[in-house]
Amino acid sequence: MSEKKMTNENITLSFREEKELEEKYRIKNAIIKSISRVAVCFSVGILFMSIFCAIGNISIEPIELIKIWIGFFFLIIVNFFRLMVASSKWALGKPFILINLLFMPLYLVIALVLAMDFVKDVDGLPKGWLLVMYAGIFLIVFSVKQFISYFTYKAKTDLMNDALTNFQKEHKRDEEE
Amino acid sequence: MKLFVRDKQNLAETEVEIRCRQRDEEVDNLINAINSAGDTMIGEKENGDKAPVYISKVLYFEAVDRNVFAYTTSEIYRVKKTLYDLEELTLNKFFIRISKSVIVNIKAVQKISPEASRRLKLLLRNGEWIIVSRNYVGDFKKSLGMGQ
Repeated sequence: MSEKKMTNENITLSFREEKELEEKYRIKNAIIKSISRVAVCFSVGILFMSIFCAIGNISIEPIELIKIWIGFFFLIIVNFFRLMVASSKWALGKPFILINLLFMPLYLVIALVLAMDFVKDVDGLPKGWLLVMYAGIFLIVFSVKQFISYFTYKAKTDLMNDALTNFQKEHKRDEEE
Repeated sequence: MKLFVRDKQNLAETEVEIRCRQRDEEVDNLINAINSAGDTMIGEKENGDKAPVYISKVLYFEAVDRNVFAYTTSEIYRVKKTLYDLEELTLNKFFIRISKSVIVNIKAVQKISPEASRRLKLLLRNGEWIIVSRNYVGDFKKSLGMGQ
């Protein structure tokens, strides 16, 4: 009897542990993915910035490099939370574009903070207008990219849904026969 | 109900024919029982009770750490098999591997939706969503009869 009870407790624990493990995997995955993605963005960003500065003959002060580093650090944090939200049960029932759009303002703020250091070096237009222009470009590029990728992929999954319906009809008929 | 068993040496595989006046609940239960013969494995419920798990009723198998769980519409069972064993066991039973840790029953899939990073989301009969990893999307499409 006591042996049976022991087994039951072990199994119950294992089911509980399973949920805890799933949560740990979610957090671990979100950390790894956010760091690796931002690392790629960081190296590509530094490369483009260097090219931009070399062409425009703009010098970057050491404090600005620290600001860029901090900007990318915040990007890791935002990405982490986006990935955590995206893998939650609530988000699984929603189109992935919605999560990206929800986090868009945070990305916009980071992009604008990073861009502000370069804005002061551009002559001709007031700084405020340049920031608005940058924000506009960011919003358009981000939204268009999201919508295009979503609807392209949606068209593909519609074909898959048709194939799934046919598959299930076919095998239901087989079973009935 | 009458039961006849006839040996026929020339049959390639065992055949079962049900003759009935009308298809009622008894006949449906009989069909389910015949369909599930050789289609079961032993699973452990959350309370530790052992129970037969009908493979055809499983929505998906998931490996978490060293345990493998079978999810049906209403129950979760722990099964003492590896995903590799289950892949072999469920061969030709409309199950397909969709990630490193999940094997899904295609018949339990209600809807397919796009997910970020070229992955897919599957809505199952119990209202749960599961993810098809990018590396397994091709295999999943093939299993639906679609080319790459």
